[in-house]
Amino acid sequence: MTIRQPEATGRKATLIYSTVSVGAAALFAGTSWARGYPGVAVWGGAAWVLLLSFIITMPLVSSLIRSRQASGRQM
Amino acid sequence: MSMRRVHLKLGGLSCASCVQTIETALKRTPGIAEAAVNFAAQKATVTYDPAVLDLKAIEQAITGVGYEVESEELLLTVHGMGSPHCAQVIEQGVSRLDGVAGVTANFSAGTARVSYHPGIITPAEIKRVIRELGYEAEEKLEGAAALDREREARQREIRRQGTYLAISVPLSLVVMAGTFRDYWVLSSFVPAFLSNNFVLLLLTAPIVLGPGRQFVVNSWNGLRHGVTDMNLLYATGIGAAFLIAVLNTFWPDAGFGGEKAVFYESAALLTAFIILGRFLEALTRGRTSEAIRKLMSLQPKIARVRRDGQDREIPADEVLQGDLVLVRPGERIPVDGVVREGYSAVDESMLTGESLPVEKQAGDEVIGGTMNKTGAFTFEATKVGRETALAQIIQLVETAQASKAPIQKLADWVAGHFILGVHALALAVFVFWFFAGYQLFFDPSSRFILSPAALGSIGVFGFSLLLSITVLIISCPCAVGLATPSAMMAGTGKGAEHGVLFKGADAIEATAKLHAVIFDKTGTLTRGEPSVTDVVPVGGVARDEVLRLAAVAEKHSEHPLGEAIVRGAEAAGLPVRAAESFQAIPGHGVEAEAEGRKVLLGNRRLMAERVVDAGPLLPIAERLEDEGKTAMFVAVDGRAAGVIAVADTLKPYSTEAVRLLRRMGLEVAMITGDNLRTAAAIARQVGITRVLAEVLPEEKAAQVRALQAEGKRVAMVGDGINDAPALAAADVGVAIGSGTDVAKETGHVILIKDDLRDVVVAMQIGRRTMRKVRENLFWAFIYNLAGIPIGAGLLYPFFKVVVSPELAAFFMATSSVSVTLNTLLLKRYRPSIAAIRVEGGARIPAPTPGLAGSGR
Repeated sequence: MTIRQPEATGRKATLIYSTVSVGAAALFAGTSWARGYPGVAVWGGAAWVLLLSFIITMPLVSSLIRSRQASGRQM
Repeated sequence: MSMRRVHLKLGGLSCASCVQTIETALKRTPGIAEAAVNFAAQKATVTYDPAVLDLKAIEQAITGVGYEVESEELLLTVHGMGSPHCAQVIEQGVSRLDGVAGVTANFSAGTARVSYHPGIITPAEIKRVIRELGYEAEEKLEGAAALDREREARQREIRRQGTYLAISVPLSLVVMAGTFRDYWVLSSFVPAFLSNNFVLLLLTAPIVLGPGRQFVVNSWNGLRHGVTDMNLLYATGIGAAFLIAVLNTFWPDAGFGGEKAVFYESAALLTAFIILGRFLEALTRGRTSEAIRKLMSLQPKIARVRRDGQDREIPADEVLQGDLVLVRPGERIPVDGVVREGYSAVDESMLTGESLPVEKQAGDEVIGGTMNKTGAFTFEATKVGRETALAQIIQLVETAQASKAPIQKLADWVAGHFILGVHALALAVFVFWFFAGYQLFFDPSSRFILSPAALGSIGVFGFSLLLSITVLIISCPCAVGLATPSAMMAGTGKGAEHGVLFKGADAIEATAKLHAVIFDKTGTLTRGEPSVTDVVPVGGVARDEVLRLAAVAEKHSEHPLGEAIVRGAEAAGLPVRAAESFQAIPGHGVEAEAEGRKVLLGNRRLMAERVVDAGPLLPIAERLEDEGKTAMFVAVDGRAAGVIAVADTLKPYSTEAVRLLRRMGLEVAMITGDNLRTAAAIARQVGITRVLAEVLPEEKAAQVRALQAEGKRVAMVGDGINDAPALAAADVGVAIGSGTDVAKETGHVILIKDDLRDVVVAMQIGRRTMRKVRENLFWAFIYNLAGIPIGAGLLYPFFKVVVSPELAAFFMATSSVSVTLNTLLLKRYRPSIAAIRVEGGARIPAPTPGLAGSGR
């Protein structure tokens, strides 16, 4: 018996939270670049947004996917 | 489906959010019905279906989210291994046992090393199995220290954090002095080289990369398994501050604020303060579980038994039921048993809270772990191993300390979800100050609160990042993980100290919220057996003579009332000889001839039948009957001699307990199967106004529910076995006077002694503990709640000041300090009754059976 989520589910979760986080960082970089912020601020800010977005979305998405998978199994 | 419950010692828990992570992982595992993790005790209590999964799967669920299940190690000397095959036999036999994590038997060394989970199996059971396999096994001497391993682990953690503290605090202070050298008078005694950014880097790096490394490692372990914890807040805060400082040191023109905007002191002080919090947590954890360690230390290691006519010393856990055990003065009693020979006084205060030594002679029970004071005696072991009272009490206290109160579940949920919220807030703060706040409000002359440092030429990214990090640090509810469990552990320990066992943290919480207490009458408020209460002579006969003649007449009676009269006479020191003739008259009384006189003892009908003029006795009898007593008429030689009243009498301290409970604002009621008149009489004596009389045993639970339907939270105090349904129906069931059979009791609170004042002790400890919990939660959250708006820069537009990360860390450490100190204060608490009992210990009156108010 194992409690680890199946690899496919893990990959799916990783794909989702990575996409969301990279998207948020890209949006930040794009907006700040368009507004004429200095390069350090654009890239440093994007890195910080990426890190925080990862931290926020990783557990949320993982748990959402896991619970969906569990409810799908029950049905 | 039969469920099984285990307690597992955990490793790697670093904050309250870990609790949520492990519980979620366990609850998601099929076959696990219930899982509760206690951060302060570092234990998990898991209820599971052994048909669905085994312990290894539970372990896997815990290790799967990055934590460890810790096991104890037992080193045994094994005699009789003739070949390497024997080692294999032992390994196979022992490894099959539930609770054994691993076993290595070494043929050449003649040893076996067993890793086991102490909540599931004991060393004695492992040794028994090895013996059953045909070998002799005894614990190696160093194994005796196993008891203290938990303490050692805690001490190790205290030492580790203490060492980190010793490194980080002085270095941080030097870094701070160097950073602020240009302010105040610091320049006159701080050497100039200390303000150099490269020197500051050299001083800060050992703090961040040494003591601060644990946060990175722990948060990485969590992230790998998709979980976030408080370590992540620390790691991001410290890491970001340090990284900006390094960037500004090497590339001052990179746009992070330049060489004047290095945050080495932030990274250094942040680490120091967080480690201070960790150190205090480790200290608190050690202090609160002291109760269990104290109880464990009561268990003597060696017992002296008589086997095959020879006295020999053996390990105490190898005493068998039926063994004759010898105890000398000053020794602890190794197991429970019954005295067969000898006489002594035994100090049972460590288990029952009773301050006076209890006399023991042949036939009396002795409890393992108590201290023999004066004489030597031999007793027969009746309960050994896990069956002893001490083992049951330890188990009960452990279970209670590992359990979780409803208020704690809420705190854990908050702590578990707070981390995400904090990161989301930090992101929002960063985005706001980056795109709007900086342009609108930034002023280069603005300063940090309580610091001379100005923000100077810090850029938009540096400023926004600074506020974002401050929010991360200031919001961290690190003290919340300890707030509830540390107080609960201290509370259960305090209860055990006074002979009050709470079966769980929920029992403490429920006890603190009670509105009403119902006492069962017979056996709880009263002794449960009749005693002589009044002897009223008439016609010039002496009072003692009436009682003595009545006792002589009843000498051979088996009626409970007759027995009460004989006991009453004996207690009064009167000689009770046998009657020359005796005749029981069913439904009426007895007739006897004693010392040449005819004695009649019975009811009105008996007097009427034997034509005795009972006129003078009638008003006396009526008065006594109005008081709920049974009046018996005595006639000697055909003339009325007096009335003897018999009743179930109150236990000592019943009245005092009721009075104190009422003073605490609780409604006190009495429940009984007796008729209303008898019940009301007892209630009057004890000071209870609400009487639930003529209630059949099976209806008691319904009466409890009826009171609950009035919106009251109700405690039921009664005999743990007879009143089980009512105890279970109550919000808090208090089983009283269970003595050594702790585990059999129904009820949420178990009182070891038969002293009703312990109900008051339980209420006082419950209330005090919950007060501590509320105070702790206040201290744990108040700094965060007050600090978040300030940390996010809410004051900046108006006052041009921001909170520095190190000040945020200081707030956080302050909340840990407040919680720790507040919990430790509970250890000094002593229930008011306990204080009175110790002061007045020597004058506790021995209850004299009956005769209260006699001779009126």
